[in-house]
Amino acid sequence: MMSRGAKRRLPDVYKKKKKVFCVSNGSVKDDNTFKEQESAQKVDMFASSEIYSADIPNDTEASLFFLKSVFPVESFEGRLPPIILKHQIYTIVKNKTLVDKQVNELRAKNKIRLFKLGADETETAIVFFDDFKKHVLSHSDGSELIENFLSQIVASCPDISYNKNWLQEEMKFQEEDISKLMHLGLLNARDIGSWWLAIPRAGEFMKAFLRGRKAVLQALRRSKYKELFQAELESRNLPKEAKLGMKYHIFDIIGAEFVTCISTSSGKLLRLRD
Amino acid sequence: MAMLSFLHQVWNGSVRPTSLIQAEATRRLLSLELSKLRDVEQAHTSSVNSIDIENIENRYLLSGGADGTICIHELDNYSGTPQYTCKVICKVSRRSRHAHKFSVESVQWYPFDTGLFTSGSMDCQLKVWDTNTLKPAEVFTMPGKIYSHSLSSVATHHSLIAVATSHSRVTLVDMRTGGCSHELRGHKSSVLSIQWSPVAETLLATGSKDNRLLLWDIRSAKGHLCAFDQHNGEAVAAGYSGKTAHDGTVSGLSFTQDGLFLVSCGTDDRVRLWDVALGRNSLVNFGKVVNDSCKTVKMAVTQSCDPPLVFVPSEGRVLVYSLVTGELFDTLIGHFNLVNCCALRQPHHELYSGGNDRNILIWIPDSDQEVCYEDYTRTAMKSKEATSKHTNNLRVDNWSSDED
Repeated sequence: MMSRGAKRRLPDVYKKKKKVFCVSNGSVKDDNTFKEQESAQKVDMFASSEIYSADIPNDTEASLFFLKSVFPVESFEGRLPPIILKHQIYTIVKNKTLVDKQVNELRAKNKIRLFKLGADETETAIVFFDDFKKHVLSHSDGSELIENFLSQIVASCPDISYNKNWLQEEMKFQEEDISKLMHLGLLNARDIGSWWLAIPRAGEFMKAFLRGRKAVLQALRRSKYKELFQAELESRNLPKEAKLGMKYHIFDIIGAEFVTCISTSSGKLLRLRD
Repeated sequence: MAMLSFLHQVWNGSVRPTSLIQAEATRRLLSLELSKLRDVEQAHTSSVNSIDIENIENRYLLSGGADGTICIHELDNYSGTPQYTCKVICKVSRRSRHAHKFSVESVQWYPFDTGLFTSGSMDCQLKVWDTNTLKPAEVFTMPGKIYSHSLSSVATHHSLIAVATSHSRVTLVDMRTGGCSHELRGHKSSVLSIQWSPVAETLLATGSKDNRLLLWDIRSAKGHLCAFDQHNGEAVAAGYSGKTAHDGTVSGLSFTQDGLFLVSCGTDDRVRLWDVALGRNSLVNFGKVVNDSCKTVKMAVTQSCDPPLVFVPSEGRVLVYSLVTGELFDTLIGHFNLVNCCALRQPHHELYSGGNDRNILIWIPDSDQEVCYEDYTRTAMKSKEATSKHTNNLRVDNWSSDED
């Protein structure tokens, strides 16, 4: 009746669990306490080297780098920066609260930018700030407006949407400037007097993304018992328009909780949620 | 083994007794399983909408069904064997003259005495029942269908029942006077969930179909104390003033026992944890918690363990989440249909859940031990019987006067 996984996840409330005893030199030594000592030493080692700790990426950042490598930049021929979806990180780091917190930290440090993409309000896309800057500059006509926009607004305000008052009164942007930015695809209309920050040419990404997600979910739906091994799914072919690659979509559907991930003795099994 | 060393540590003073209690509570609550030997007698002919366990003796379970019946089950087992069915000890059946006409949506014990309980129904009536006579001591007629109601468990200065109805105004009725004392205006649509704070007797939280979650101090005449905002003020478009807690109906509410946090669930498939003192979203991400029910959902929160847990009914199962990190610890699968409500029997670490399949299920820790004990008692009984038979044979008088 109950999933055995729950038992495994039971926290170690009774701190010392004596499982393995190794007898050496006639004295009984607890293997676990030995391990604890070892790990304590490791922690000490890290604590002493504070100089490095600033550069070591946290779990979220590390998984962002990994997901960035999954994004097939070459299939878009450099027309798009690597776009990562926030829920894809949940596939790698299980603690969602921690991911949200670290994403916000990274955003505050201006390492990444968040974007709202698509119709679903809850889906958030992440692009590394450097990638975003490079992308915008490579697609601009080199006008001063875009450089101003990037240096003044985007760098100073890590928000995902801007409103009219703030843009016009504090940042001294004119009505024409805003309409030009919208024309370039840097701003998308959200509401009367407010705009989302957007990625130019993101439409191409959305088209490929939605097409691919649909294809992957359809493959799962058509399979027997609505479940497939991850390895088997990875070997399947996607339609031509879905350029993002199977791996990208698998991270997406697990993170967005369209499927549940079950680990079996012959690999990960993805089962469609009903 | 671990337990013995723990007890030894408590005994020699190196570990505090409370940490033993906490550790044991955590272990037990995380190993909940469907009880193999105990069940609750099926008394409802349609779905179970609401259950409540009184907190005085933790002995009686009150349940309200969609057919208008209200039942009280005895939970304690005095039969001597672990095999036990929780019997209905009294029942307000549909045929009763005093029964609700339509579905009973919420039931609650009077927190200070089991002689009284309350029930709210779709027939717009809130009834205060005398448990001993099973007759309503008071009937309040509300302006709309009652989705939920709540009695404060710490109130010493008032005896108010807060009622959430299909009307947008929250009504507070006074049991002492038998009249309506307050109307709280602020919601724009029907109110589905309502709960008094377990520490402050004037603090009340309400969740509504207009996606808002409001906190009220009933002493303040101005309006609500604060509206919880899911974005904490960020990412708000210009000209947008309403603060929403969810992107759908707020269908379930539960305070933590210390009253510092509030858990809410909504039809946007999200569960959120709110800091009551700051009025902010604490941004714990529970992931997708499917919630299709258009009725009130009753969650249960426990804090006797570390990390604190929240039990959320979702479709046909009860999900067990850590309140701090939002991680899914366990999934309790057993119901055949939607689960509507769950209630904890705190000192026993047992969970009771009621659903649309008309069942009330018991989830207990150490289910295997129970089965072992049952086997033991059965074999013990058998051997006893065998020995008694043997002695009987010895004592039986085989003498007969019949000489032929």
